[in-house]
Amino acid sequence: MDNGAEYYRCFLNGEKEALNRLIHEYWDGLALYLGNITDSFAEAEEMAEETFVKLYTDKPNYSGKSSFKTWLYAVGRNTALYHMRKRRKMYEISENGEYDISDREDIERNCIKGEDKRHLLRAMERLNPDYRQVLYLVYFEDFTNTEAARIMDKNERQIRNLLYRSKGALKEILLEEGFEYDGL
Amino acid sequence: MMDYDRIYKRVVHRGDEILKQRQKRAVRIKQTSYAVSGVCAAVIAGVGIWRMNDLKRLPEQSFSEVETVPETTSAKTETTALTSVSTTKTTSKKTTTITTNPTTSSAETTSVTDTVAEIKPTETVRTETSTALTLAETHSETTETTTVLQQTEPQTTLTTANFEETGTAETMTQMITSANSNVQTTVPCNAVDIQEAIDENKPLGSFTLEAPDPLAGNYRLLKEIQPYSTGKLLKTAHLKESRFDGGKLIETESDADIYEVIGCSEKAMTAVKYDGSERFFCYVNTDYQPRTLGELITAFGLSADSLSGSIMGSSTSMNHVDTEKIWQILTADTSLPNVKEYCEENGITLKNGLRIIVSSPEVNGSFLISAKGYIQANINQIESYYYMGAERAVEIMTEIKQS
Repeated sequence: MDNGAEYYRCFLNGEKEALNRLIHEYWDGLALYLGNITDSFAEAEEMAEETFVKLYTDKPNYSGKSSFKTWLYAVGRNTALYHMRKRRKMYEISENGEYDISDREDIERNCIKGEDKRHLLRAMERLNPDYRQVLYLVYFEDFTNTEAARIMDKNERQIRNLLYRSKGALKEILLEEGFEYDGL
Repeated sequence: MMDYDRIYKRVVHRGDEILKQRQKRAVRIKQTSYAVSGVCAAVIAGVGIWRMNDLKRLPEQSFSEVETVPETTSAKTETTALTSVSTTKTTSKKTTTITTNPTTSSAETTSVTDTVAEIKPTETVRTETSTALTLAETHSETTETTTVLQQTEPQTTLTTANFEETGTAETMTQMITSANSNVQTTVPCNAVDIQEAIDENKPLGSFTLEAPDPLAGNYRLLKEIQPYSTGKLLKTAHLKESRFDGGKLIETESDADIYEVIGCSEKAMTAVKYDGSERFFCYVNTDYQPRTLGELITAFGLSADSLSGSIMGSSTSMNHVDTEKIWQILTADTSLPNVKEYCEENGITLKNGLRIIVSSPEVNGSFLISAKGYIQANINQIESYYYMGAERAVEIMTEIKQS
């Protein structure tokens, strides 16, 4: 059940605590999704934080045309791309990589149930960012093609093409690793 | 373990800081704006005065007479009604239309006369202009009626046309049309040895839609496609295929719905859903030939995304090339004409070159680029040729090497 819209409305009405609820509900998924766009998971977490800061300061309008989650992920993606463009040349490697890994594993465990899916997520790391994003949105977050298109700022046809190719590429990787996944 | 409360506090803290900074900036902007607003007001007033002077200099032909507006509207309507009857050459002024009035005898004629009479006393600049507009409309109506009359009965005297004659003309047209359609519907029937219903797993390999069907052509099965790739229903048709199997002529037929494939032209590709089946099969019109490269791209909905990123050369292959750049160079000139006939006549065949693979849920094929600058496009088994010049071929090859 997507309670995000209700929480966000409360937040816009001045209930700061509603933002806390939003963070509880969407932080993991958003951070994992942004992990497909950014170069490291620490950066993905930073971008997730930037997204919530943006909600807090700009209070962007949520029109209700899509689900709140779709909208939030689209805001997250735009925020991440904006910040990444800004700091592309100032990129620094994460100083505490170990924390990064364990943190990521915690989030994966919270967000993705099932060992198979986690294996799959790891295999997806070898794909290019667009393939990773579309697969994550459609197969892990259960977004429809339309919603994924909205988040990734592409049209449905592009999403269909991306899915078609990314599944092909992922299959190859999984076969190489001797692993089969029925969901594809 | 993630501490969401800590994250929340950090977000709020950072957010508050940003808001505080924005507030400070807003105050600064406010103070500056007070200082600048006086200057702005003076500029706006100056521009306003200057524009008012310009307006005063305009000739007095502006449409200011409000009371003439309803009258001109009624004049326009009535005159149009009148000319749909008269069909004569309406030259330039209202007097022409008035002279034709006595020949008609309906109640509308009276109203026309009244209207014209009303216009005359209130002749203003506005009225004249609207009359001119009305006359323009009159002319076009007249031309239309003339055409109908000429098609049906050339001897009709146009100058004396009235309601009755128009009615006759329409009736005759309908009769001719129905006579024609009767001729077309008598289609000879072929002898059929065996009839089968469509097996969902064995859709028709090909079928033909005859002219004058707008989708006329020979269609060949490509593959099954997903329902979400199909668009609006184009038509319902009865499709059949005859083939020899073990010396027997087998004719398979079925009713089917023909749909558009989203993003593709129905002249090139359609999706077929057979009666009793929920599956969609994609068919390509083998008679289709694009006139230009651009037409090919539009017909199959091609874009940079349609390129798979794989390139095959005679001895090597590459993956993950920059499809955006390749597409940009390839389609730099979409007006390139299809030179398939020229190539066939001059025996130009492309064997070697770089093959750019096209792959999407609905479209498969390749663009083969030769060193001399020819493109052989083979998209969904439709082959077409274009000449882009050696320079651009080299450009593409360089780009591929770089990526």
